[in-house]
Amino acid sequence: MERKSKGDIIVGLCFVVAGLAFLAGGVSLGISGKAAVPGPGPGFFPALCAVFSIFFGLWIAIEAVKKGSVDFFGTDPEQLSNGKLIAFVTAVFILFMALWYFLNFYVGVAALCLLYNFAFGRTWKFNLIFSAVILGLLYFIFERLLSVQFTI
Amino acid sequence: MDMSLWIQGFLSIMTPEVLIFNFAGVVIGIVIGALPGLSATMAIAILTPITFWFEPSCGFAMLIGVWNSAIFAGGISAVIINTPGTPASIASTFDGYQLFRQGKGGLALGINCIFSVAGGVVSTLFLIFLAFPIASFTVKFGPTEYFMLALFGLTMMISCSGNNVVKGMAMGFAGLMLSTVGVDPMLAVKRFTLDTTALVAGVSFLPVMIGMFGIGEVLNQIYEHKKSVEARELKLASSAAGNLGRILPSLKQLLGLVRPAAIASAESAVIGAIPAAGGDIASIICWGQAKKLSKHPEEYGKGSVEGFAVSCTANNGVLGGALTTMLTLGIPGDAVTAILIGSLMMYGMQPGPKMFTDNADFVVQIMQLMLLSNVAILIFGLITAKASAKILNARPETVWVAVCVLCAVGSYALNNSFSDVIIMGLAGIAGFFFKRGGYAPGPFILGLLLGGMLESNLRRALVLSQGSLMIFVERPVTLVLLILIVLTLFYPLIKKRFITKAK
Repeated sequence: MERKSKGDIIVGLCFVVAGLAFLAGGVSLGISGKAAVPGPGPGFFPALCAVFSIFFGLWIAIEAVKKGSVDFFGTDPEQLSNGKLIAFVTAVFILFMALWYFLNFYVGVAALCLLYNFAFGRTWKFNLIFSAVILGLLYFIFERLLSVQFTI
Repeated sequence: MDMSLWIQGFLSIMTPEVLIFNFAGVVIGIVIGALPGLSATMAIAILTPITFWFEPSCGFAMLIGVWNSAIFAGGISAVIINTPGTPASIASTFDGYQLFRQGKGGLALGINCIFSVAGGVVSTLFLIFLAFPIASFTVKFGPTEYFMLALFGLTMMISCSGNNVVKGMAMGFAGLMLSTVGVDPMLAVKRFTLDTTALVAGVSFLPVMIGMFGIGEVLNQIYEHKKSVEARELKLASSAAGNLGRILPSLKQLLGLVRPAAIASAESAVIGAIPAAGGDIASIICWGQAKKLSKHPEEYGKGSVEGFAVSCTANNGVLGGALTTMLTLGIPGDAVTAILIGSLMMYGMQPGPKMFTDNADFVVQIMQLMLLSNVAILIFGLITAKASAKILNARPETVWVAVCVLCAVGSYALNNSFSDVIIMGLAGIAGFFFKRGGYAPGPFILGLLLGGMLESNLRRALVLSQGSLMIFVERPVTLVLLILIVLTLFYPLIKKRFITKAK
């Protein structure tokens, strides 16, 4: 059975939802200015952009329903299997940020490098050397030379 | 032009620190430009927050060096593996790879270096001679002109970035919406901050840019990666080193290329000045034009030395034009100048006519750094032409890990803010999905960058006119820009309709 892509419908609706949120916010901030302050209010520009975002979002979604959506991910089996790798890469990046926030930046970078190289099929030897070099360069260039502190 | 300013500028860049930073930038740019998948935009986006820690002249020396050399180096992979190192080198693949297959790879690399520098130098002269007169003209601009200019820039980006104008418009307005997060520019009222202090300063466009062009691009490359294609490219790259032949063209070949290169330089400098028209557009247009004017058009696309030289001239020839628009009008000429605007603002400078009065010395330094970078590229590029092909032996997986780490570091270093890293990560994921769906990130980024300028000038204009929209047609420059905007947006639709009717 041919897989029907819904990518453009989802993206179009995302533009509509974002637009509605900004439109509601803009209206509550005030479209027109107060008597003491002439000119458009703080909500004017966000509301204006929101209207266009809703309009074009609906256009994209309706065209996708009528004519079909762009296939976001294709049908190549090798590419589709890379989707799992994408999910893993994203999860590791979130882990890196969590480790940085709760523990230490360098622990996060070490975990990121080790896990990424493992996922990309690099040898353990390369993995360890690469991670050590990256950590060393970051420490030397940023902390020692540029005095950038990675503490949160 | 004040000669003392030029002498002072020259003396201030001829210091060991500035020269070292510029040279380091050239080397970094060559590595990044030669590797497919890494672009000058990505490199500048990641390096900009890092250069904040240096003196402005050193920081800009590095960025200008990276920018010029990355564009030139895109031709290296175009020649060796038929894959442009940067989008600007797309036209270089038409003839460059054919030259390599004919055993003239070394000649192609030499021509890439010489004519990229030629294009860069001519466009820098364009910048030097035209920037100050344009700046003195734009001093007269009011809020209506600035509003229309920003809108024109956004419209050009929308029309130049993909086949679907509607998707481009949606992205542009989404970027404009996001630019309203923070504090109202005129009334200092908090908007859409979700009661968090992190969003009070707004969504900084640099982390978004690093995310979309860095992480988003890496995720896309991971998704599209095929082991069979990688194996072929690595084999091509490793076999290239011994098979390149001589690097320098003969004097007769060089003289024969002067006329087409000169025409391409002038064309590309003008194209570069148009907002959103970058090296990719310029090199394709110039290649097409040169083919029409050539005595041997049948050779184009089959290893024409002339065609290749023209494409190399054009892709670096846009840089001076883009910088002219950025410095004089505060409107980015392309994605890199959009980031350079952010970089200038980090140093407390505002691009636009005021740059030429308040920071004229720095403007002159930028112009001289452009020339200096081209000299460095010519020397370094020719000496290392054959060795530079070895850069392509680097496995993409190594690059992906390094880019992810640098994106996190770059986005954090901007404001020492972890929130920027979160924004960068979210932008990266969004950038991946947008890329898959054919949604160009350019209009989104530009909307985010120009939103403040658009809003404040629109509101000022409406205050001046007491709410009347007629102010946008009464002033001549504004009216001309409005007509250009309408034509830019509706011309593709009208053309499509005519073609359909004719069929």
